[in-house]
Amino acid sequence: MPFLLFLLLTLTSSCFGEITVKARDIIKKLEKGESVEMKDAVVEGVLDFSDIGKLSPVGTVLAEARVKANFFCMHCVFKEKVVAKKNNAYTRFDGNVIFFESEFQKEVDFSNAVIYGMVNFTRSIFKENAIFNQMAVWSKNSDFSEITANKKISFDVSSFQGNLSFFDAKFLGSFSLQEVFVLGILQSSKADFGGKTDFAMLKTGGRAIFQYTKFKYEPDFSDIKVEK
Amino acid sequence: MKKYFVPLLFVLLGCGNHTFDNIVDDIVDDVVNKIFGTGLQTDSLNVIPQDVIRFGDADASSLPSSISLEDKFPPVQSQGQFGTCVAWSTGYAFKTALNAIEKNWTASDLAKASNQTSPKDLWLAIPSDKKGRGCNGVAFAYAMDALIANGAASLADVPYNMSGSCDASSSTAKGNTNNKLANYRKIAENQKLSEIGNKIEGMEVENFKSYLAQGRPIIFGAKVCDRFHSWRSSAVFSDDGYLSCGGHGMVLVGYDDSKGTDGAFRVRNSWGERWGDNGSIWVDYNYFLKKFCKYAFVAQNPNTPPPEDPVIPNPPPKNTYDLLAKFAEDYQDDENPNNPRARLFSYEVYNNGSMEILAKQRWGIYYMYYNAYDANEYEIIFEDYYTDEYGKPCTKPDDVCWGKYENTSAITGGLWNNMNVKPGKMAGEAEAEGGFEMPYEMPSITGDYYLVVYADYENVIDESNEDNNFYFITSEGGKPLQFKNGVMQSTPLNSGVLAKRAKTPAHSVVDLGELNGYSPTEIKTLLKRDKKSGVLAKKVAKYRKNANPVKRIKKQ
Repeated sequence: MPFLLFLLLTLTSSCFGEITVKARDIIKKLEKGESVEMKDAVVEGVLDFSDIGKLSPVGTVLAEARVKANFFCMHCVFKEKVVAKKNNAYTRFDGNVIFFESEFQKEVDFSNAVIYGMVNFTRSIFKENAIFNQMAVWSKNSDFSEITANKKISFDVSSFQGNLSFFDAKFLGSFSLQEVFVLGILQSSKADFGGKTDFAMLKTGGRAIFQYTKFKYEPDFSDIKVEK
Repeated sequence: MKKYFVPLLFVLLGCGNHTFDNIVDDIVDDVVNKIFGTGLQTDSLNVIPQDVIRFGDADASSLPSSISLEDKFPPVQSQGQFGTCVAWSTGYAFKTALNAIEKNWTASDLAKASNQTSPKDLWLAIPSDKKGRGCNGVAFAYAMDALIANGAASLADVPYNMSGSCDASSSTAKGNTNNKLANYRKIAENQKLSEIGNKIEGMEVENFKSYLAQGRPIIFGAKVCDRFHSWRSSAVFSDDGYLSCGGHGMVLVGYDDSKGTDGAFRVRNSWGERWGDNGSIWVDYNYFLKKFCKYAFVAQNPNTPPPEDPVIPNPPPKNTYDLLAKFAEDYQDDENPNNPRARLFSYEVYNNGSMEILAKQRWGIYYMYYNAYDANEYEIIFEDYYTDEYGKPCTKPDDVCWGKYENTSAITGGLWNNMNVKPGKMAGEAEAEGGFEMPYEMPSITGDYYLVVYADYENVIDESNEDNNFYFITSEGGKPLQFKNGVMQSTPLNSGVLAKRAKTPAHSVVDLGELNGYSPTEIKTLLKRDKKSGVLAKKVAKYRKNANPVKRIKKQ
């Protein structure tokens, strides 16, 4: 079953973005605790991970949606928003969150998500704003290498308990890593920041690498702390 | 557990290299959260007048890339743990800055307690029943109303020595009539963020920037949470947490397009210099507009006292024009009992100058209504126009000398009077002694409105006194008239026999007691702007198109 959709898609698609999948079907699958694996799919409708199942109250203010299975997609096109939050509700991902070489045509918002698995958006394209604020990622690697962000992308106040990579990424809009904590290495080599950048109050437990990095505007590195 | 706290806690606990100093800092931050108060209670936004210049009057394309009014503010101080942010932002910061701008104070002037408005005195001036329990805040409107009514003493006269309780029962405000506010106006609101409705208006960067570019600081209510509380950085604040959220009053003192990733507003707080960036903070434009600012106001200091109302028969000044709107009344038309919107209206506008006002000068009188809390919503009910374009000149009472109703292309329904008005005479008096009553049907409006006669609305006559061209019809105390589907629910103060006995012309609702009502100057400014933009011409055209041919009823 976990691979049914994957197989179905891989068998019937021959080129990028040929198969159409409804966002609500993805959520249904995740609700059953089954992993979603897609390739060359076009996803229609808003994909809101916080729609999954019943929200569990966290304290008196918040509620948590919980995705227990892995999410993997490769060469996917998301025609509508991809989000993982609501007012006073966030999403916890127990497994991996992988969007490899995918295209996001509308906004992306993973604010407040808590992710225990791998995070990988390598070579993905964000055509609209992408917000990853106040996330907590517990895995060893969060990979945004070679991504292209056409508009604003921000990771404000997020914490990464492993490494975080923007290697060879291209940012056409603004980029913010304000008050972010990276326990491991922050890798920004060859990244091209075409918009304004904010690294204020960034803390890293490992190295922060900016070799061959291009900045169109002077970056804000105020109050940053690099332990090594 | 809380949303924001989840990742932050991970930062604190998850980092093996987190130093002792870091931890101490965070503990201090936590303590700071508990020490400093906020204290904004949500204002009743629907009954606070909208600024007539809805988005400032600056050309957005010509706005400077940065503005700072910080040198117009007194040094940052701390409100302590009390919920007196409204008194601090409105009194100490905002009112002092308005004075500094008006009087061109220097930094040393601003450092003197005698020049700083006392937040405590302002706090004491606010009725206790309007405040939250203990020191749990108040809405801006009560502080501003107190400043309009009685002003506030200086910090030198009433130091901020709160003693653990904000109860005002043991002491009273001193006030200071030389330190009053004229009015305050709403310029933006996000009722969703305030959780009182869905209306979002004026939340555009250019709106705020244009006021600041005009040298006008902005006072505003914000939603602030834990991250804001513990902020100590010169970086641009672009996201908050979820804990300890509450309303907080602060002042917008500048902006800079080059700050942060998208530009930022400069916000002055009242939590001492240790907080934020020496007591202030940069807030990202987008964050400010979408998630931070609940609503915002501008305010004005009083101008020089208005000229005294001339009362007929004052000796007219020599060689001057002056139109005086002396009287108006509006009442239900008893001859149309089946139509509760059918009304009669009459007015008296005098030539109070020494020069005859000629028909060839082509001037007019509007009778109009406007929304008491957003004067941008107005319409013309009646137009009386004096011109030599049509008919024969009027020389004696009962001459038929007004316009050709049949000329629908230009004058449908309007009254076009070919009439000169001699000094000391009432406009229209040449037609019939005692004037006329004009029947009309009130449009289907619902809400709080004023009715006003406005003489020489296009300002074609150069008058010695331009401030007496209005006559307002209001409820008691200058309060607005209430309408429901065009039916007046309240009784106009100036109606019937009582009105005829009125001795004092009311040229402003402020004079009648509605202290924060729109001034005639604001109405003039509004019409002037709309004349320039063509909006007024459209309203006039709409009126002329829809108005039925007016019959005048000679007053008995």
